[in-house]
Amino acid sequence: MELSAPLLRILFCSLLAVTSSCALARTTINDPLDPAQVLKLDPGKTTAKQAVELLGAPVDVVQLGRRSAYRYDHRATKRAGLVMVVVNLFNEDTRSDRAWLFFDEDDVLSHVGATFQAGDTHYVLPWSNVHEKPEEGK
Amino acid sequence: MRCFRARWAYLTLVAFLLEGCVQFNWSRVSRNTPIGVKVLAQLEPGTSELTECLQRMGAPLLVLETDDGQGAILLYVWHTENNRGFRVSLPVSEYASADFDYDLLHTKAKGAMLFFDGDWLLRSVREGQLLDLTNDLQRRRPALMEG
Repeated sequence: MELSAPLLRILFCSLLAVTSSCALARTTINDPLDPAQVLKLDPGKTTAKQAVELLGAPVDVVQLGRRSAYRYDHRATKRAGLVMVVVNLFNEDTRSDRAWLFFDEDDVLSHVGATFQAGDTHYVLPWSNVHEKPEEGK
Repeated sequence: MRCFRARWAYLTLVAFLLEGCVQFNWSRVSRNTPIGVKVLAQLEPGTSELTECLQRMGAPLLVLETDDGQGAILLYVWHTENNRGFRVSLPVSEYASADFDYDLLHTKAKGAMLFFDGDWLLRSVREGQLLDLTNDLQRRRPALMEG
């Protein structure tokens, strides 16, 4: 029996469809940080107690001599995969929202550093570079 | 034409038969946004202060105490990996190209470290492979401060 070209193509595509699979997965760690809440922090005035009331318990506290730094973070990971018979494609993009609060020896906020990127994670396949250009400033 | 079709059919059949033992893998993994060279170049040891550095670089991944207990080390880490590999897994074959190895993530990540003194003034900047940067780095245990 001889298979015609269209039939062969249909058969090929059907087999490819049946035997290929794709997967999307998302992982998050901690709740997202609210930029508006972080903006309420006022270096020189906000105390550690007020900061904790505003943002909740920090993920980490680092002792810096008599001073301290509190870390808040939220991480998001998006994974996309495509399996086609003998070809496997996979991409993973992880970014985070982070805030570091620096307190002086009297537990008054002296510095704040914040980055909000968790919302920029993407489901893409490997030919897409999610960081086409390194960031050149904030 | 007939020869062309036969070739396609043959290739398809071979592909399905080899599905379990021959694979082409393409994976890309990225963690955190890379810090641009220009951003790092804007920081001036001896002049830049913590506020300026935090504005330019954003929040670090990690903050550590310096050895003298007065200052701080800010660590920024990012990782991007683009792997394309052909994998053959026959009992007598050799492993032609490795899949992505998650255990090696920390060894391949890049980073930048900013050293600040007790007055929050930038003292030095180091950048490179994370493994090299953190080789002699250890987080100190919290200690009771008297007075």
